[in-house]
Amino acid sequence: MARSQRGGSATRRRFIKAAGAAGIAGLAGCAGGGSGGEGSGDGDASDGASSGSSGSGGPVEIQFWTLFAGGDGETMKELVNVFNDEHDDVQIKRQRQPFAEYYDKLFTTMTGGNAPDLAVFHTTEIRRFVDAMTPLDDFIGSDTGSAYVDSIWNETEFGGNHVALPLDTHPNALYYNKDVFEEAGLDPESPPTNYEELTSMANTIVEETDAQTLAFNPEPYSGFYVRQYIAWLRGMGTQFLNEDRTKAMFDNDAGRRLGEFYGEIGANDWDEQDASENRGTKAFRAGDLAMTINGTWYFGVLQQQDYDWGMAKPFVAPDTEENFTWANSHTLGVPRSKSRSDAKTQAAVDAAEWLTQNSQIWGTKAGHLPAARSVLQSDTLRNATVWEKTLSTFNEMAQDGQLAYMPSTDNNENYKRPVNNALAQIYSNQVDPAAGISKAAEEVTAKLSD
Amino acid sequence: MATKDSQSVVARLTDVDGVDREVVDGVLFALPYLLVFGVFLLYPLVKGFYMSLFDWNAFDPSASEFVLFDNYVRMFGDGSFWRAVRATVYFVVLTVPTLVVLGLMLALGANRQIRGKRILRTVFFSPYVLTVSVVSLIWAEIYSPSYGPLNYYVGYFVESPPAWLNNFDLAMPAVALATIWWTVGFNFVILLAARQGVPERLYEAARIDGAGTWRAFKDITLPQMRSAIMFVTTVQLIASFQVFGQVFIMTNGGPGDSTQTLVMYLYRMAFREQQFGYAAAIGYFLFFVLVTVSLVNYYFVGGDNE
Repeated sequence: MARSQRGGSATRRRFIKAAGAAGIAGLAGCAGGGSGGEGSGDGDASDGASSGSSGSGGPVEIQFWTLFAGGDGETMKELVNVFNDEHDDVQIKRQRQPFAEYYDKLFTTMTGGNAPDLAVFHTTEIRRFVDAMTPLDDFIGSDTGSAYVDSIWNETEFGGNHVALPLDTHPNALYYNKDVFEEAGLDPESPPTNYEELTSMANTIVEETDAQTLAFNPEPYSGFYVRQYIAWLRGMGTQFLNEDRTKAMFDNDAGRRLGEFYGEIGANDWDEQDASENRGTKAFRAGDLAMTINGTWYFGVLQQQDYDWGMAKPFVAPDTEENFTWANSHTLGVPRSKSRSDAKTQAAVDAAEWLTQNSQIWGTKAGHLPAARSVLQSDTLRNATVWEKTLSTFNEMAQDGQLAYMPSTDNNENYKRPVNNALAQIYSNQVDPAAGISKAAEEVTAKLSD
Repeated sequence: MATKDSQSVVARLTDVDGVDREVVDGVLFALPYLLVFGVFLLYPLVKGFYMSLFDWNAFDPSASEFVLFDNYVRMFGDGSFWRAVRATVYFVVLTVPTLVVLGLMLALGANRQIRGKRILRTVFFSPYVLTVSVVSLIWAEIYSPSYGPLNYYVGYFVESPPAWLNNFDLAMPAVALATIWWTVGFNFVILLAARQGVPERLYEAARIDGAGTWRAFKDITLPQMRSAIMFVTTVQLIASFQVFGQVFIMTNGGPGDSTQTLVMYLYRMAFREQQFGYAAAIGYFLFFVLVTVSLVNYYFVGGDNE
């Protein structure tokens, strides 16, 4: 009796697992379907192709992994489609991976020997993967570097060799809802430029507007508190880590004061004491939040909102001596693979060069600051709405040296998680700021010196 | 009864064809499974233990450093590991008893002659067919503090409803509740089948002897369903100790490390922090915990020791 039951339920469980797997395969099928348009493009392209480089008659296929979702994802898809239309001998097969698991998956596939031919890497993540990336200097011209903005190009150099080609820079800015500013009786063309102004304006918004309206959220995705914390900390004259990146340096007056700032936001009723994932962006998009800090990509999102919005430099932290904001860059690198021929690697590098140097829509549609000089200085970009709305300000901050990249370590997770955790707890008022910061610093040092 | 039948069949076969034929047939029948078992279970099991003895270099395994039991020793001094053990045990305590008792209650309830019995059965079981990601995303939305339906209603009674998944005290119970909703249907189906297998004549006889509902439950239902209850408990213990998807999607182990369970810690160590050797050692720790718990459960609750 029990035995037959056991067999039956085991079968059922297995069936359900199998059904789950089939569901996942189905989803993968959807993703494949999404790029199916590109697939059919391949067919068209190969009809007229007489490629010598692939040897076998068909075009060379470059597997390209990206982590872009939403507007970024759509724009990259469009860019890849243009590439595929213009090239008969090389076709890019784009595969979009979920952002949150992207690097875990990339790592697994790179260790498993099935690495894609081309993949997106944030500059701050390159160090973690550098041993398994192809040095590019043999595959690019000696003048390729001059095509990119110097500061970003230099970020891709490891051990005397460049391992990736930069696509963009994407700094953080302060976004604000002009309708809420007006409702509160504030000038919608004068967003806060420092801590004192932020305090006064946020208090006014809380007093003068609807009870539902919140004033300020410094990080709309709870997984990323560490980003602006590191930039602001630097503005307060404190480095986040020591020179050789083995020790946390933020357990001091500045670090704790900045921690308090995250706690104050809820205590002052500027925002709910809630650090749930995505909460800030939901509130801002719903029109319930007056100010938030977010990246370049927010342009595409906000263009779809039905309220009037503005953007400003996010220099609103307390005790600031110098102004810095968080920034990072997307780059394209070629994961190492024993089975890939040099010709294919060359094709992948050429494709990366094309994508990074023909990236007008990456600026005009996705809202990022292109890394290629020719694109950055092009009239197409400078006359576009995005330039007036956001990019000119981002460009100004870049020119003024106000971008702070997070430290690149063997594994940035070692500092990201403890600091994100601490700030989320401080934000939701579950931990005393000083204690939270001290504990996070202790944890970071322990992890880094491991 | 069934066991007896199959024994006689085996005996007959042996008489006619001899042992060799039986062995060959048996091996042939088992071979497809053994192949899958060998490739997907046995090999990873052995390889996992091998890895746990190294400071494993994923990019270049041949450069891995042999450290014997260092990874196991490290585990015992690792605060995050023990927090993960505590979180896992807390989750097990929150889910397993509730899942078994609630499953039993639903099964006994649905076994009565009531209207809409079939609909109820479907309703109880249906969440179980969802995948973990779907369940987690649905519940994450339900728990969403500012825009979720739960707090919309809680807001009528409490001035500032809690941020369920972002609160140290509430996050794990919230995940446990979602898990119970999701998986109780499995227990329900097994226990309902077991209850239906209990002969009605036993209850009739008991009634004639003057036994009440409680007495019948205690002395007939429970003992008769013992094997099924033990099975359900074991399966739930194993599933709950291995909880991963729900916490990974709903809380990412937070707030702090309060919902970071063992498997999630293992995952983080392996794929995010690239310490495969240490992660393999944690996997082995979990394996031994599960074997022990299952054996203890089998010994105390199991049906074969009366």
